[in-house]
Amino acid sequence: MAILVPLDLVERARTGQPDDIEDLLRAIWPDAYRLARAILGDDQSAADAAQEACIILYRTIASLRDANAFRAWFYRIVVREASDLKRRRSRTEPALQSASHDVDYNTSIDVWRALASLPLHLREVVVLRYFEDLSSREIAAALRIPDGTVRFRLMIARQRLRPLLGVDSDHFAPTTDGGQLHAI
Amino acid sequence: MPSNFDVSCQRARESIHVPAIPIDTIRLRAPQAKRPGRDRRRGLVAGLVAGLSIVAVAAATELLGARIAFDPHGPMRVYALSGAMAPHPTRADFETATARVNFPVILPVGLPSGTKATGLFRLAKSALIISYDLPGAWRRSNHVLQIAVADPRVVTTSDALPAIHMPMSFETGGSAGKGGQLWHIDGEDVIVLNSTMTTNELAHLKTAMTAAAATHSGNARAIAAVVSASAASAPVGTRVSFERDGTLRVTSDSMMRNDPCGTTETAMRECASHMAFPVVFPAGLPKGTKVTNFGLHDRHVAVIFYDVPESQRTSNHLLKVMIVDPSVIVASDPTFDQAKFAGRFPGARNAIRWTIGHEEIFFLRSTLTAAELSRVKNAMTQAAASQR
Repeated sequence: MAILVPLDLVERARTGQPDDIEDLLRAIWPDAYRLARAILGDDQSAADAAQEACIILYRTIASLRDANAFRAWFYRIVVREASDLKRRRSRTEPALQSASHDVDYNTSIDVWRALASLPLHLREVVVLRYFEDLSSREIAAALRIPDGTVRFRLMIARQRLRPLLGVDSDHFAPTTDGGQLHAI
Repeated sequence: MPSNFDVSCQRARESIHVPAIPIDTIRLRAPQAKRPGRDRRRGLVAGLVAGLSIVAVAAATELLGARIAFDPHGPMRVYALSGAMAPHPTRADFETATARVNFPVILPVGLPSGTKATGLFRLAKSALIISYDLPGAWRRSNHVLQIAVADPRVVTTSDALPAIHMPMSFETGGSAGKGGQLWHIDGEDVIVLNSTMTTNELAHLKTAMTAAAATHSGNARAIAAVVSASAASAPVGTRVSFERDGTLRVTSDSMMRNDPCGTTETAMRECASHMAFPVVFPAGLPKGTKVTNFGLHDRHVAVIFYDVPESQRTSNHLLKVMIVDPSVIVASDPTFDQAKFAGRFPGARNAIRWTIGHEEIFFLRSTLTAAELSRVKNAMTQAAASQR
């Protein structure tokens, strides 16, 4: 589910008043944490990445020219912080810790395993598409990559996930964003 | 209509337990927030306050002899007017260090059984930084733990500490693993840097130190635990080996010198006169190159780390050089785990090895170009010729 932040809250935060910025951070924190958690796969790293993203937002919200651009900007910062943290930690930690104790195993274990099996650049687009419900165009804006690259990465990710999830061809619904179908 | 995977992902997303926002930490660590509309007067006031804070920090540093800036998510920055390093500290080293600082020290107690103390660094009279070697094969790549115990007056948790020019300044600790914690126990601040300590081990350490602080009886126990483990090492001699896994290993029983904050050319020349073989140090390195770490294993091996400051080297500006007495080079060293001083350098297969004069010199993989290396080789060859 994509974040829904009232525009007036973003507008007030852009004026740079600490109280307004903190109100905005409180509103977006759950989304920032969930997004980081989905990319990183463990709670501690997710908290670190979400916190770093909030610090960056705090420091730079005043430079945001258009409140309407906040959503893509927010996703970009969180994904970048989570990815950077993942890359740094992967040098010393051999494997992603999939599905820690705070996650409901019964409903989501396959999803976490599947995500953990994907390389970072594919995991980012899958999380933004299926966790955050963004269109490929929105993902492209958030990651600053071409729309076609997003669709290609989603296709590759789906191909890799299909045998892992042990599913048939209708497991992934067709997406119609950008006027193209992506059913497999 | 949503697919199974869509639904599973949405369920997974909703099942994530979101912790409370750490707003205090965010507020503390976002001091550089840009404030539009800040007028000139506010800017001047801010500048004045910043200037005064720099003066105050400098004055406090002068008074206390050290300053530690601790950022839970990054390295710990250390500044000191003076310091004393004791590699593989003995009981006497610990006792001397704790007697020379001006706060009631509570040494770390309750560390995992088998932990060895590998270094003790006293910063003026205000802090001790202790390096440990954690036990357990599962820790693999990262078995180092660093803990600083310090006078609370020298510790700041902000990463916005202005630059301080002190004879000693360095950064230590990284971002990997659990830790990055600051505890206030009795009259000292305890900084546990990131390591492979588990959450339970960290909790046990904190509980044990708090209990020791209450009775003021933990230091002898803390020293006994880590020193006895260290003392088990038997003499192995000095060796440099090329292992089959591609690492270059150095082992020795003692270090003639260990300057973790770098050293001067004069000191290096002085050291060269005590070595068992005629040493030629690297010359002709790119302008601005600094020594960041200098160690001598007995009288046979010099390990030097350089910082090569060029913008295109942002990804890797570290140059590691090893100067070795040819008589200590072996194919493989089975005594590595028993050695008192042991260094492991991966990527030895890509190392550049030259014989210059009477020494073997190894340049581990770096961003030095072929032309730069050629310049270094020429300069060193000339230096070796003039030495003769």
